Amino acid sequence: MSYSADTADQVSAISGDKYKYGFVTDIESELAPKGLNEDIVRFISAKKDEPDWLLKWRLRAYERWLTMEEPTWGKVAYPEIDFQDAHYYAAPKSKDDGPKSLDEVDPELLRTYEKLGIPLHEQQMLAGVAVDAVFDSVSVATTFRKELAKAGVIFCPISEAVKEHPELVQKYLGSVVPYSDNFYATLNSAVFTDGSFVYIPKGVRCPMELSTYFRINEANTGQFERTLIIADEGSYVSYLEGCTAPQRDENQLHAAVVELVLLDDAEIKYSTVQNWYPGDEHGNGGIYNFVTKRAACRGRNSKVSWTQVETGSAITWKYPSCILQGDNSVGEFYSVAITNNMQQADTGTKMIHIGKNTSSTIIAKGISAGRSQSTYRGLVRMQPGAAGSRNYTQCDSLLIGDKCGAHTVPYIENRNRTAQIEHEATTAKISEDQLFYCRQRGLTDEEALGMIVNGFCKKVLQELPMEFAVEAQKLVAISLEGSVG
Amino acid sequence: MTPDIYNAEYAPNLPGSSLPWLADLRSKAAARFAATGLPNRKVEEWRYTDLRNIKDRLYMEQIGDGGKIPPALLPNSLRLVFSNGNLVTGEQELPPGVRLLGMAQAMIAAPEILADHLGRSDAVREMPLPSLNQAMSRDGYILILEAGITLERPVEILFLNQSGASYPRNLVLAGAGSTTTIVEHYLGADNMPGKSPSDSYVLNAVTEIHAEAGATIRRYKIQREAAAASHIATVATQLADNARFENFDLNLGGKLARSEVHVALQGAEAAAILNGIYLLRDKQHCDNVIHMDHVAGATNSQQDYRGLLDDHSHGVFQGKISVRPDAQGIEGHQLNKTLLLSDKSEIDSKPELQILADDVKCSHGATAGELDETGLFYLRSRGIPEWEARRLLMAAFLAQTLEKISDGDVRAVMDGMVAEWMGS
Amino acid sequence: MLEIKDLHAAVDGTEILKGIDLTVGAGEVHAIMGPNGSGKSTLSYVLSGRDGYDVTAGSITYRGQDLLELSIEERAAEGLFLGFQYPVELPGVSSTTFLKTALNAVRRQRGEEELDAVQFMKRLRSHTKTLNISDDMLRRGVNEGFSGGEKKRNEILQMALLEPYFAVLDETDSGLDIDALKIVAEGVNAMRGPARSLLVITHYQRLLDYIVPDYVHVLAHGRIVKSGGKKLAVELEEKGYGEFLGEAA
Repeated sequence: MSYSADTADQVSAISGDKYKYGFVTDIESELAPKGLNEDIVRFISAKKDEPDWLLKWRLRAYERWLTMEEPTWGKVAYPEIDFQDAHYYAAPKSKDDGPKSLDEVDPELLRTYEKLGIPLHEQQMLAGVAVDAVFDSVSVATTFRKELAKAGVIFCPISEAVKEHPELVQKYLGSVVPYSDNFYATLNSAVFTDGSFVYIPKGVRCPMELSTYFRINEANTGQFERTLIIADEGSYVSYLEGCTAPQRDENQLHAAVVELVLLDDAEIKYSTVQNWYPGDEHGNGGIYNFVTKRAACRGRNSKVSWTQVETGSAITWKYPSCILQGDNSVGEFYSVAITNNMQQADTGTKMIHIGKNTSSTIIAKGISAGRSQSTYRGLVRMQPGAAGSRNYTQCDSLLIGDKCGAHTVPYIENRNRTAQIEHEATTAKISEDQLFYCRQRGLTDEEALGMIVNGFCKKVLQELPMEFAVEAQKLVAISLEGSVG
Repeated sequence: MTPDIYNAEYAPNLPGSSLPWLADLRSKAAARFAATGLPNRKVEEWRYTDLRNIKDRLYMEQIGDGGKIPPALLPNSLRLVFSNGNLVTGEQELPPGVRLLGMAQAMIAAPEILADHLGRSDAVREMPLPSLNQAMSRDGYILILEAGITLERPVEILFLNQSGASYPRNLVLAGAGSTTTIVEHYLGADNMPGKSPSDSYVLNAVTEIHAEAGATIRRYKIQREAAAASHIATVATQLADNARFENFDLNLGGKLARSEVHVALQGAEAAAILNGIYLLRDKQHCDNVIHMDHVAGATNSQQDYRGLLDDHSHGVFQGKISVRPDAQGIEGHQLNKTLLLSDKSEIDSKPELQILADDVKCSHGATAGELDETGLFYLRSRGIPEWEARRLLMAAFLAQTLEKISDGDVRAVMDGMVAEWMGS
Repeated sequence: MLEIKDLHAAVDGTEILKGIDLTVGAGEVHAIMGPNGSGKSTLSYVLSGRDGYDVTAGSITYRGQDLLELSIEERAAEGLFLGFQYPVELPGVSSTTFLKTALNAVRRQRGEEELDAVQFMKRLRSHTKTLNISDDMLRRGVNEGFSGGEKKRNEILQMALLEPYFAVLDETDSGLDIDALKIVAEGVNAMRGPARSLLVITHYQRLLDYIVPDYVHVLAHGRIVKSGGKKLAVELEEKGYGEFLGEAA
């Protein structure tokens, strides 16, 4: 076992008794000591009262992580991350510690909520106000749970699913993103703390959109989130992740893993709006968002649709992907990535066509402003068996100002002659003519920019579920504040 | 071959070895290559092409001649022929303001010009294969045009190879406002008795082109290497203000081919048109690499590469357009289309854009798949048998890039070769 | 309404307008005609405040205010409208959304209450009918895939909706056939009134048969070289611009 110097100090401070679980850290503590070692992995697993098979899985991942190197091929640059300089477990904060009402919340934050059009009770939730004091959100959650239970849908934290539905979790966890997949996914497999588990039974159309909003019992577990969604034969679910409100976190590194499994005739619509704190205008203090998301379309006629609006984070590194295994399966990727100031984004998708008559559509819109860099990186591969399959890709980049960069790196690999791949990309700057036209009709510079950019992103934004779409449009405009003139 | 062996045994036997600046240039190049060796597939630019097969053939001597020399492709051309590495054509009368000679001859006749320009192309100097070429090269062609000279006669260079490792190093210097058309023909002598296919040759050529203000250079490459040969050709072009570069690569032969074209648009209003066709069958592998670097603003570039892949062949296209932060007001467009004709052929295409300026209009498009069914149906519904309909559509597909060749005679030659490939 | 005094303007360092004097009263329709390169479009861009068009001397007083002090959108809020010669396309931005946002932006600047969706559509429909603009056109991106005639009708629709005090129509007739021209002219004429002035910029006299001006001015080499009544337009049609081009700058 290896200890960081920190842990060693803590150990001697606690009088050095080896605890009955086989590690030293005090099980009662709310915060694990800094550092990452086998001890901490066991501590996390014990804190969550996990069965042995899951602990073993985590440990295998941890062992593997020790042998891996951080990937460097992305077009993102950041100071070296000291993986030993972070806490890998922190108990959820009690709401009693939070602000008592919105009056106690930073007015700048409230102004952003207003601009985004977020309803009052949601603002309270986001700001961490003890909601039961002001608004009875508990009853909302209860009604919600009743409806889902009626349909047989399971939607709970993954830690609960491990105990209540171990056979499902054991069957599918790590089957789409194996623990050895890549550096960050492996890290996540070792130390993930929570996330969503969703199971939609055969033939069921989930009666409402599932959203992370509704998991009221948690806060601040976003660091190493692990999500697993299973859509059984003929089922449908629409899942929303994230929110338009800017979210801060003391933890700088976010490495989430999302696995989607689709059986015959199933459909999953997964929408993300991400606005993690991007850092100040000099790029300091922003969040690093390294995410692995993958959908396995195992069943025939299955369909998955990834829609994302990424406007936050100092660094975004994510490639939601689809493995199109089942014949006739369909993968879609709609993305808007906006970078401003000093943000960097290297994002895109991978569509791997394995089955016959599979099809994929990629519409990626990148907008760079300030001194930011935005890269689209995509892979479309037709394997030899993907007869009759189709891909259409459209990636467009818009540059605002002359200090930013937009890059496109698509890989197109075709091994079947009846499969067809079509890729188009354009890069241009925001048109002076368009801005002038709008302004001559009375719109301000910023209003004109927001309108033109929203028009540019329209094809993507219209894929979002309605309430998200409205907020996303406002978010697009806000993210570009200060970029013109 | 370690740098020590190179310096002691190989370098002294090269033409021009007594020129100290050249010895230094070669020695540094050899050291650069020795440091990295041949690139492997972990290197991003080589992810689709495996060079292990040529590793043991890099230092083989070229023995004997290249076989029967075919007639010139173009009427009235100024021709240089290299047969298995040796310049076999004699002196010819040249128009005023034009110098066309072998590189080895130039080392005696015009070493100062070489000293000023050889190995100066930043884009490729550090790369392993051009470095190896610089160290090993014995000969090549050099074409120098004085300012204002329009060379009406096309320049035709034939590299005819049979065996060993060949390293042509070529240099084109076009003075301000000059114009020229160059055809580089790489041909393999296939039917040498007693030779087994695995003994076939390796060719690693580098052509450096410097175009001064307002010069126009048209370069056409016809690659018909022997069936088991490996062909690696790198072109590095620098264009000053208003200079124009039109390049067309026709890749038909060889077992392994790698065609790299690097263009630096260094002056305002410079323009480059890079087109190409790759026709592959059996187990051929052809990797087309382009780097179009918009260094200066108000520059323009166009690319149109098309391929037909049959049998087990493997085509690759890696085209990058980069735009530097101060290169405003530029336009860069790229198109790559490939038709897969068999169940086992494969295409990997990576059209890349790296853009740091904002006042730009850039686009790229790539398609990979088979012939459009609607077109086939239409022709067949008019009574044309399927095989002929396919031929017509494939020819039309290729014609769209062939018609961008501005030299009529060259176009006719290329059309003929393409038709011949399709007919067999 | 508008008083231009000794206006000099340059584009990219080159002087295009070389001393324009023009006064337009409320309710008047003035036509500016001139050969290509005379500075007609430059005048319209200077009036609307486009970046890159620098006023080097002179003044423009609009409804008692110094126009040059106002930004582009402030001028729009003050009731200045420019009908573009080449209307721009805004893909993905539906015409309806654009029009509503623009109208409400202007109303907001004027301290008026904004219109809600229902009120807006009512107002919009009252104009689209006369201009023969279909619902389908409204749903598409602004000017996206519109023919030349459709684009110009769209300009007039915007003018009708925004109710400007002063409208500059920059070669509104270019690219139109006679039927499209008539519809556009009808739309413009419907807006004539005592409180509204029009500056119609055109190369050909034809438009002025339909939008009959009160005054006609000839712009050549960056200056107004002749002014007159509507008969002047007919004279120009017959004689051409030749005699004005001879005049040195």
